[in-house]
Amino acid sequence: MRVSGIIHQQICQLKWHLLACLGLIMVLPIEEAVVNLKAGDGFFSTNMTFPAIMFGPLLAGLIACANVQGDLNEKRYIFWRSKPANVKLLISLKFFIGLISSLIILACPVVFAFLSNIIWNKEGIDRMFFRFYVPLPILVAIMTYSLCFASNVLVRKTARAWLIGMLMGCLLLVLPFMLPLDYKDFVSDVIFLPFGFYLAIILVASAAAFVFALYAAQHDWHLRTNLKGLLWVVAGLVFVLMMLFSSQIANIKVLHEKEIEPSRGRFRLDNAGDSIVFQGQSYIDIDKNNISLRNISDNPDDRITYMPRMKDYSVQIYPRSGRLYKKAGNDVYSLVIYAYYRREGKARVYEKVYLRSYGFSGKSWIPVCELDISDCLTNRVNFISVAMRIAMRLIGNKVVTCVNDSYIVVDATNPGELKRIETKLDVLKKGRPFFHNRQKEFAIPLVPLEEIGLEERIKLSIDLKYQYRSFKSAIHESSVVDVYDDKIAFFLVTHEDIARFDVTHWDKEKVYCKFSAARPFTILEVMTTSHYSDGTFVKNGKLYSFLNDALMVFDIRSNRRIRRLGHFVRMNYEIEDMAVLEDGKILLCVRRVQDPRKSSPNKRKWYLYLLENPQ
Amino acid sequence: MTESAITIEGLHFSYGRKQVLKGVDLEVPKGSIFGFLGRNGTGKTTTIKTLLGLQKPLAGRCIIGGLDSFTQTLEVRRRVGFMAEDQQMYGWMSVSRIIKWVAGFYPDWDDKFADELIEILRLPKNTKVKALSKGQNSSLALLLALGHRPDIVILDDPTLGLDPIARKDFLRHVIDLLQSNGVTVFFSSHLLYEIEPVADHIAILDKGVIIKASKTEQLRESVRKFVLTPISETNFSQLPGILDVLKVGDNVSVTIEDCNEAKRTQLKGMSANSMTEIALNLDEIFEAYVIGNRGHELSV
Repeated sequence: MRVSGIIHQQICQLKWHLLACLGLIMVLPIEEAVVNLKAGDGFFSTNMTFPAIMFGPLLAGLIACANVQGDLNEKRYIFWRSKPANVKLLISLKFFIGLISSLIILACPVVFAFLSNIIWNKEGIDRMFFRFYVPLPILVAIMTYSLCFASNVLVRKTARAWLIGMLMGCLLLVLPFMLPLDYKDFVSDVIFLPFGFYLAIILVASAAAFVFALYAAQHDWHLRTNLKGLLWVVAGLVFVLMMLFSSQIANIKVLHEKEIEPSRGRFRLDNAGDSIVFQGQSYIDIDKNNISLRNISDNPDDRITYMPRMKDYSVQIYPRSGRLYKKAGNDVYSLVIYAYYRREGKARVYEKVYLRSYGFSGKSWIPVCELDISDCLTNRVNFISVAMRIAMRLIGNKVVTCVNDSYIVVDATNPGELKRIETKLDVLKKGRPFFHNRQKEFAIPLVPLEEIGLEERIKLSIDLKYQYRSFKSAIHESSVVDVYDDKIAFFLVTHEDIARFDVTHWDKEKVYCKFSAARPFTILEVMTTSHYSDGTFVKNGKLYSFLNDALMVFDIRSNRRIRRLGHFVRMNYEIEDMAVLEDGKILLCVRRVQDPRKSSPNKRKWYLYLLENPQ
Repeated sequence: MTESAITIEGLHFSYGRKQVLKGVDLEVPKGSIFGFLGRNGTGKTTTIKTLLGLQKPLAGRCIIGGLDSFTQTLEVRRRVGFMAEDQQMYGWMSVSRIIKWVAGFYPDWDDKFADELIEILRLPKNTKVKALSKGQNSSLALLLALGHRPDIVILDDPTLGLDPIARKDFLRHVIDLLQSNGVTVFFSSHLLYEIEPVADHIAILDKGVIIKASKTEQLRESVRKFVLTPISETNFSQLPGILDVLKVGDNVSVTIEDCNEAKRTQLKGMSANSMTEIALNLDEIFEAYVIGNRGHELSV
């Protein structure tokens, strides 16, 4: 058998299909490059390369079908089979010629991106892209090619074979989620691992498909398919796949659900030592996964009503919603900062700042101590009408208050007698603005307090930099910093990913940090939630991130990868607040978002959810 | 005893539950042009596919040129030239390209002979296969079957779809090219009139079994039709070798095989007056064998 003739014949047979596939896969990168060129940036492509090569497995399947379909038409099959052809050699040659061609085509957008970025893009190319995103579609393409090739040898109908091959590929890719292998997170378990099980599946499936194709061609195995039956199978498999995918985004178990009475404003869950205070009125008791509320006061209408007013002044409160609670013996105290200001045009002029503590009298909350911390106002005027930075954190028995760039440490061992123990005015150096290139090492100003430990100072510094929001700040109750095994790291959530930054070292003035890992969101996660930049905190080695109707929990203990443990979604519900209990269970306060078109007697409903903490 | 080019013994084959071949036995003498007859769907192509080792029989064996077609498949295909019915080739290849491609499979491909065949068959070398007429397509398929100078050529309904002129033209080429070289030709067809002038041996396949195999001339001599006026209470089904009985007005036409004087005398005894003996062509003989009623539907 003349091998060169067969190779030539095969290339001629495939050439138009290959050119068509090349055209398809290069459309997006070239379009992006043209747009960049028009914008004056240069003829390069970056963002569109990944979507383009994501089409690779589909195109590889098409090439596989085109590769062998021409030889498997019943009459043509008899024509070449009646010649003294070594079927296995012939099919092998066809298989590998098609496979190599597919890989070359798949490589084109990558090579184009690489070369065009080297030549025309001053910022260079993202190496992460080549490291993580390129190998997976290529490996998957090898598998889909092999599966489509084998199914076409068997079925001998291009469209059906392609459909079957793709379905088998999908099934094999979700197989690890079906098997008890503890693969929960597609991104971190698959892409960011050295592939492991997936690599094995892809290679074994490809090799098995190839061997099967050889035998099927040799023995003239021909499966006559019924299109209707095939469509039913497709529908069934799609259903299974959808179930598997939905289990990826709704896999945190709800242990109990309790409807609660409506209230004005957002519901709040606050930590008060070993218990959770709901809305400043009730303790939340959990008994055998059942939620029950126990009023702090006999009169459920009792609130913190004492808020001394100053004539002609407005007041800025911290915490804006919720409270900072401190237990002293059996007594519970609440701590609040009040900042009084008047308006002069668009500017806010601050006059007084107080730290007040409230004690529970048995019937209502009453002020028990007031500390004037107005000396923190080294700069009294905020020219633009935004709130002044005020924050507070309870560290042991000490309360650290932050007003603009000044700090006061207060001894709150007895919250009824607050004592100032350290004052640092206007000390915090300005940090650099939010980084553009996170790959570079950067520094954060270190809070210069002596009364609290270094680790807590570092945590506070990082949280003040990245956790502080003027409209919603949770410095008093949560942190994005994790300390594990003497290593300090913090986590930032963007629209695209969760990034881990390690604290590498520090000096008297600054904490130095470096990016170490990122876990991008999957399309499914992006689709089910808008973004995760609010409501993010770290507790006991887990990152909790919630917004609107979704909560995600990540394992952050490894400095190499961030792994998703669970995802909770309730459509048409909004998570208002959450707390992690001492035993690890998660408590959510959610509001059902009503449909404005419907007129329902129960227009608004609130619930408390008790969730299992995913492991 | 004549040496066999092809021997088929007890061949059984089925597609799923449908049994297509139910014990085919056949001897094809070396150097003969062997007509393999049968209606559509009786298993001719299945027999040929099995003969070429393209499918595995349930039972039985096929020997071609002394080689077992299932265990020595590649050797068999090297020695045999095969042309399938309505053969489809790679339409995007040119005539010269497909000849070159097929030549790659045969170590003893005769390029000079192939060039001669191109001339004889008047094939346009640079034309794409898909642009060829049906006649040219058949000629090309014939060329590809003969280019390696095989000892045995198997033609499976090669003129299917050709118009009468093209068919005659094609058959003339087959005779010219093959008969003179002593090549054994195994020729399957359901068109009797195209087999009759060329075949020196005939086998009729019906319902998965060979119902008749003989020399063509011998068959013509042995199968006869008699037209007679039967006496009353005549049961033709008892007549040995009866193939078909047909009532034509007051008369009856009786077709019998292995016709001899004894059978003639027996028929005369059934006739009220004189009877007429008619020689049959292959078409009529085939019809008598395949759809003849064996005298069961008519008794006088």
